[in-house]
Amino acid sequence: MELNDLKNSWENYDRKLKQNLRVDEEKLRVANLDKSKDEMEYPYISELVELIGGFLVTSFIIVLSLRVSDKPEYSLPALLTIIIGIIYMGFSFQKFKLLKRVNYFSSPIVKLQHELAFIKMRILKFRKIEMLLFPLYILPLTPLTSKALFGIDIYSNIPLFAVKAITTLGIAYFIIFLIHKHLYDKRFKKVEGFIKRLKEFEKE
Amino acid sequence: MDKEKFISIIKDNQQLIYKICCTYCNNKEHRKDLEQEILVQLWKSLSRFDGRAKISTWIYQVALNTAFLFYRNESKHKGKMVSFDDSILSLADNDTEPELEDNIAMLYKFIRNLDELDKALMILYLDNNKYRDIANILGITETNVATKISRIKSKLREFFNNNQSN
Repeated sequence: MELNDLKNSWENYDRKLKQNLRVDEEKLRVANLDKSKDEMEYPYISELVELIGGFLVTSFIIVLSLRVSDKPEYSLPALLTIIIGIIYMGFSFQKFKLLKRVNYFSSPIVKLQHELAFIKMRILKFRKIEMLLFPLYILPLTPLTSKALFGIDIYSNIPLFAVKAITTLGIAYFIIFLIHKHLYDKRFKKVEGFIKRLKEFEKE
Repeated sequence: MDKEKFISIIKDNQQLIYKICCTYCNNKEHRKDLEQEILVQLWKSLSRFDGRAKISTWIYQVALNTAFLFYRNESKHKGKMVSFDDSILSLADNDTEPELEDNIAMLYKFIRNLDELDKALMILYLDNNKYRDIANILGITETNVATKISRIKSKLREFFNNNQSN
C-alpha cells in the first residue's frame, strides 16, 4: 500500500465522520461549561487554598504565642514555626504566580510544554524543601500548643521531651528521605526526560 | 459568546475533536473525559480567540494542548471529571467499508505507538494542514516539520509493509 492510499483513506474517514458524527446539542445547551471542573485551573486553585490555609494557621500561631510572649521557652520555638510558616506561604505564592501566568489557550504546543515542565521542576523543588522543613515546623509548636490548648507543661520532664523530640525528628527525616528517593527523584527524572524529548523534537 | 454560536463551531469541527480524542486515549471512558475537557477548554477560551488565525487552527491548538496535559496525567483521570453521563459526540451507525476500516484501524495503531509530540504532528499532517500551520500550532520551524514528517512517513511505510507481510 502506498502512502497516498493511506492519506486517501484518512480523507474518506474524515468525510464519513463529518456525515455520521452527531453532537448532542441539547446536552451542550444545558451544560454549565463555565462551572465545569477544569483540569487546568485545579493546580493554581489548590495553591491558592494552601496560601489562604497557611495564612490562617500562621495567624492562629501568632495569637497563641502572644499569650505566652513573656515565656521565651514557649514563644521562641513558636517564632521558628511562624518563620517557617511564612516561608511556606512565600512558596505557595510563588507557585500560584507561576501557574497563573501559563497561557493554556494560545501557546504553541512545544512552548507550552516547555513552560509547564519548567514549572513542574520548580514546584517539585519547592515541595522537597517544604517537606524538609516540615518537622522543624511541627516540633517547635509542641510546647506552645500543649501549654496553650491543653495546659500541659512539656518542659516539666526535659530529658523525656528531648528523647521524644530526637526520636520524632529521626523517624520523620527517615520517612522524608524515602519519599524523596522514591517519589520526588523519580518525578524529577520523568520531567527531565520529557524536557530532553522536547529539545530533541525542536532540533531539525 | 453565546452557546448557539459555540455549538455551531463544535458541529463544524466535531470530526477534528473526535480524531484527537481517539488518538490520545485508547480507553472509551478516558476518551469521554478528554472530549469533555476539550469542550470546556474551548468554551472558556473562545472569548480570547481574536480571529487572526483560522478557527480550526485555534481548535487544534486548544484541543492538542488539552490532550497533551490529559495524556500525561491519564492515570489521574479515572472517574474524576465526568459531569456528562455520555459523550457529547456520538458516531451514528453507518455502512461499513471493511477496507477503509482496516486501514484506519492500522493508522490509529501506528499513531498511538508514536510519542505524544509525533502523534500531534501526524494528525495535523493527515488532516492536510499546511506545513506553515503545523509549524505555528506546534511551535517549531517549517523545515523541522518537513524533516519530521518525512521521517514519520518512512516509519509508516515500514510499519505497513511489516503488517502486510505478516
